Amino acid sequence: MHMADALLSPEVGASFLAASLTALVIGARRLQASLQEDSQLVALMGVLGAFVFAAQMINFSIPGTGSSGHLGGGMLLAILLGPWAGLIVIASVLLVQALFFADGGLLAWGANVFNLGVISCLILYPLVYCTLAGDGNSRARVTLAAVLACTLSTILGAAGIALETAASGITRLPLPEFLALMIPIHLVIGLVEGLVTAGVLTALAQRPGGFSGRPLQAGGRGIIASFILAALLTGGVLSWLASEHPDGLEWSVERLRATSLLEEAPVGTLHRQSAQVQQLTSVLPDYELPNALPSNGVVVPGVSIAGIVGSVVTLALVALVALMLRRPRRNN
Amino acid sequence: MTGLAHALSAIRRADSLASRPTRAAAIDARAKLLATLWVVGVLASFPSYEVARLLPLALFPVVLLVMGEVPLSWLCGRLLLALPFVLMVGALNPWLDPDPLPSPWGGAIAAGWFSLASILLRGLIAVSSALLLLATTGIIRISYAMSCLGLPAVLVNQVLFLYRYLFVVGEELARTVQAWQLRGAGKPRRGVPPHQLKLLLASVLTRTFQRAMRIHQAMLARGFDGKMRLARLPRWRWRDTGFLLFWIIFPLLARQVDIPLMLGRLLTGA
Repeated sequence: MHMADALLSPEVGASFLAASLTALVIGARRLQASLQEDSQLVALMGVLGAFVFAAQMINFSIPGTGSSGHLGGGMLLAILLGPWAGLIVIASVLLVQALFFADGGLLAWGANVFNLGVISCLILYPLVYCTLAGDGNSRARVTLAAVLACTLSTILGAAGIALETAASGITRLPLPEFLALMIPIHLVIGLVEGLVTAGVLTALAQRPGGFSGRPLQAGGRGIIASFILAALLTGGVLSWLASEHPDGLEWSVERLRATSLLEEAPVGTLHRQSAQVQQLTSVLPDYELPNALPSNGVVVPGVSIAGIVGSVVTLALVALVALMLRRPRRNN
Repeated sequence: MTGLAHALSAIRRADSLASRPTRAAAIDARAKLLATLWVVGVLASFPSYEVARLLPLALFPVVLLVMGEVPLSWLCGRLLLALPFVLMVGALNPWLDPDPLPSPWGGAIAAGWFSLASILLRGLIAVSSALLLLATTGIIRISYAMSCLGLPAVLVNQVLFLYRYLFVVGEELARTVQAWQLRGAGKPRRGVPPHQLKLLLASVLTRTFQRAMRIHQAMLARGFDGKMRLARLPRWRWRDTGFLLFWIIFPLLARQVDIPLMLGRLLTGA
């Protein structure tokens, strides 16, 4: 399940887009050196990306539920290609899905890359899979590692969608209920995906020539993940906790009882004109969106007969523009 | 035809739409991409109860639809597949947000109906904008535009590679699944059982690895040295500047001014 543009606010979308792009840029720089040394990785990434894209279209039945799920693929890509290459590949898969199938959206692409790529490739792969799987020679350890990592990846990805939706505030679905809807089914999907992934890895290892998972790039274990999480927390969450108290300058002015002096200060022509320009051009006055919802969450959107008539007229104008732009049919 | 085969067919159809010489196709891919991102971003910035004020932004997908000569039936078919998740999440709003708001025909309705309508309208405009961007530009030119706008070359090349081999690998997987279905006995199943799926995937994945090695050898034979090189897009023209400027200014205007209400007041004298 992918995050959609319609449920995302620009603040949340931009935060996750920035985080995901940061991870992708870092991954691209790290891969440049690897690609120079091992040009086979380019072909492998491309073809495995196509494989995961296609495999996501194949549903697997979930025993006992009558439902079905599909492979996410992020963990499998991280195991086969390494965390950075896996992230690049899953990001490309999500981009193609957003464009061709509107599965997710352009604004939500960053959030989807984070939910399905960053969490699995940069966080769970080094911290969970690599820790549990060890050198990959033990089938039991690989199976346990794959099942646990895929399950956590699916659950955290689903929780990410719920959290992003709640943070955006566009839907009124309460977060606890949303999580209660998403987590159980994704727990089961993650378990099955983990078993399928473990089975695929085991089957690959048993074939002639076997396969060797890409080694974890040095220094990647958790460091970048920590930075990205820190950036997200700072930008997206801590801003909610931003103090409403006056900043240092305002506090100082108040302490000096100089506020009234500021208000009484003579305002010249240049000051007035500058204030007018600022009022007209400021997109986020006082760092708030205009027409922000009042704190009680209720707003009167100005529904009226004039509004309905205007809406109909707007649609009619849109249709008129479409007719004007349309080319006349050519007579053969 | 399996779901995968349907998906590949849909991708081919989108590609064929983008390859036609239409007026929308003639506009630079970078201009269309930036305009689409901007429109979607402004759309997302509206408060959650706004419905009528979103309507002017519907002009963007309509213009792309007409100038790109994209069949409306194709767009509607894609929208029907893409919108159910959005509808599912917003469907409970009228019950979860029961605060009454005055309706123009008297009485009051739950505020949740407004937010549901807003969610649907946002979804319609955003999804159709993205689909029409693809149908009028094509994945290859969109990828080149993204590289011009700063996306890492590794990611852009990955998208191009994925697209190039999607049909090859996808058709192989579709044939494998179809063969499994034709050999299956008993009642139709909902999805492939996990223990059989892992065998199917492992089989195709092994052939995928072998194919990747053959592709790599072919690339080396053609002089590939590991560096990513991308082609250039056609020259930027004044009409591209005009297109982009219009679709930056118009959404901003729609964001700041309640255009439908203004028109309604003009006509009704309210």
